[in-house]
Amino acid sequence: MTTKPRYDAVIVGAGAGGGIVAGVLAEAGKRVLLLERGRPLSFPEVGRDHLRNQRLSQYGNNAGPDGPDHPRVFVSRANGRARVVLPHEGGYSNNAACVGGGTLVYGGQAWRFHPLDFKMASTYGVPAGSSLADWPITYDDLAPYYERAEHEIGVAGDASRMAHLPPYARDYPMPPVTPDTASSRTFGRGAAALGWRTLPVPLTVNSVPYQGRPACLHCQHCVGFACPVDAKNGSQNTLIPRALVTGRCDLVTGAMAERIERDTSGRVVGVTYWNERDERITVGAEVVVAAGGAVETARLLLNSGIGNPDQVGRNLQGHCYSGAHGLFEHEVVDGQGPGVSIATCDFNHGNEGVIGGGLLADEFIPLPIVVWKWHTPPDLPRWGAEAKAWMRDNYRRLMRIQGPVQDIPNPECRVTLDPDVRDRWGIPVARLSGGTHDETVRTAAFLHGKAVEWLKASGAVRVFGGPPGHSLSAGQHQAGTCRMGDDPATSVTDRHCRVHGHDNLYIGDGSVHVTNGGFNPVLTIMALAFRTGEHIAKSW
Amino acid sequence: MLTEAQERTLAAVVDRVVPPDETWPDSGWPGGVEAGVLDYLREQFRRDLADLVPHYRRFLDALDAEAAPATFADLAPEAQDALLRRVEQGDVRATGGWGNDLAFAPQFFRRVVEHVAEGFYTSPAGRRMVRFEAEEAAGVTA
Repeated sequence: MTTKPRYDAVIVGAGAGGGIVAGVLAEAGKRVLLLERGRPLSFPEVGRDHLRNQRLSQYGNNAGPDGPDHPRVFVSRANGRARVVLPHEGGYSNNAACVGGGTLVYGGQAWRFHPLDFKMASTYGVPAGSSLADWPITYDDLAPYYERAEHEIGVAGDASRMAHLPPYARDYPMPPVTPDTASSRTFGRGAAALGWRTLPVPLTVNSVPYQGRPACLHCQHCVGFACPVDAKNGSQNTLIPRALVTGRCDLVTGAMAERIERDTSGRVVGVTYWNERDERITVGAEVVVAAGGAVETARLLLNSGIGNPDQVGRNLQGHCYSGAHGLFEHEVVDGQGPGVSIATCDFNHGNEGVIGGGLLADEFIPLPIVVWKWHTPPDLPRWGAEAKAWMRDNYRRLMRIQGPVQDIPNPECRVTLDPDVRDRWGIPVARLSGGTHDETVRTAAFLHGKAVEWLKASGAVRVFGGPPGHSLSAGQHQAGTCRMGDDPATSVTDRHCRVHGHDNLYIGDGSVHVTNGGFNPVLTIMALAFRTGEHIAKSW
Repeated sequence: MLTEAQERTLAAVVDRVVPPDETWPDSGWPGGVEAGVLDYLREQFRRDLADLVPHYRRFLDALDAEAAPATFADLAPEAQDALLRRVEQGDVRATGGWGNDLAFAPQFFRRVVEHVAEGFYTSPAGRRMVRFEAEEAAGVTA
């Protein structure tokens, strides 16, 4: 075991959250070590393999992790059977592992959560079998940090159209990426006929040159891939380079964290990790920030014996997606990337008879093989001339309207340590078990109905695809496993994302989300990371 | 990896799963073979589908046995389609290559179909056919 010099802060995970905390701390004058188990990846390294990417990982991933080094165990909700799964396989709930994490290859939908998303229990009550709770902070507490993320990461949108939110203090720094597409025209007409409000989807994509990088080329490989001209904004091209340029941040990649170290009094003193030469290193720090995503952060805490052992790993949630497909007589896909262009937030709350809701939006430009696998009508033959002709005639006439349903947290949906399976370094792996709460499935059925209504009002000549059933939703939107709260008995961190009982251990990712909104969660992860970084810089 | 006979049968299957347009090559779109699906599958047999190669051999041999006295590749396209429809429905003879596990025929055919579609819809021809790349948008700000 080698011991390295002490840092002010060691951050485990260089994704949306960890990368931002690193930037904020380094700019505040702190000496920072940023550990990332993946590597920095260039556009050619990520590539454009339609079968091995963050959207469709049929045979592998393009932004890590990959191969046999990082197994997990998935327990089927249906039959209770446990099986070892690799990162590209169903049930693994992978998110990218590289510098930037998911933000290198995401679609970049940059939503603020709704004010009521922070007050779910007091708005709706607590359904039986759920752990639904209010956040200890409010929308107003987070609004300045949302704004900071929008400007410092770079979001394109139109604040005047965000009618479901309180007025913004500042508009987005860039106008919408694709204000006018065949899809936005079609669904804009449909929504107008229904009397629904719509808005352009805010994206972490440059619609105009911004922060020294160019505007989007409108290519077809956005979600799931890296950007050829670096017009997609994440931590890898904003806060991480800002951290490095201070000279106070060391970024170590290929670094697999094993445990958070404590001294004999129980105080957190550093992190032990394996470097890419398979050397086991313990590094000391004043402050430790765990930011490996909701699955790996829970695993790291459990492997370290840190945090309320009955709470860490519970309430695992991502998003169950609900929606429907529509076929049109005219073309609704015009090939203008990224593709997602119009949404409604009229059904995030206030829906008769269901808890919460979610946004509904059109889709990213789909890979042809994704349409073939996920979006064909149930009665289409799977082979032969008719199947081929359908794809030829309908690829551009097909649109899916869908959205992330606000998960009603289930304490039985959780990350534990597998008693037997170890990763390449001998570290116990995450075991994922449990599933969606019944109320989530009910809300999903409601949103499915709204998607059907929108498709029909917009002129769809055929609508197909049913609402989702029960599953384990974590994946790229994974959250909830170290929820924040004022009561240490029912939460893992306090309102500053600091682990209860430890004044120098923080969580810097979606694990702290009490609920995950009816929105893509990344902007909330980013906003919290700015807030947490600021709190650490002030406190240490 | 596959015998010459198995390769020939596989090529015939690929071109029934994704057949060439009737107007091809004057107009329209090629079938799976011409789009490069056999090359895709050969690569995958060394890579992600390596474990399935014995099943592919068994499936292709059984298809030929089912087509006896002809081989599958020698049948007319309509007869090939009719045979594959029987395979899809599990309506196959226990004699020949299927052995006692008749469910193997429809189950493995479904997998073959997905593999062929993966090859075709990721190929340049498949992508151009559906108009994935937006010729009009690609140059907007490039």
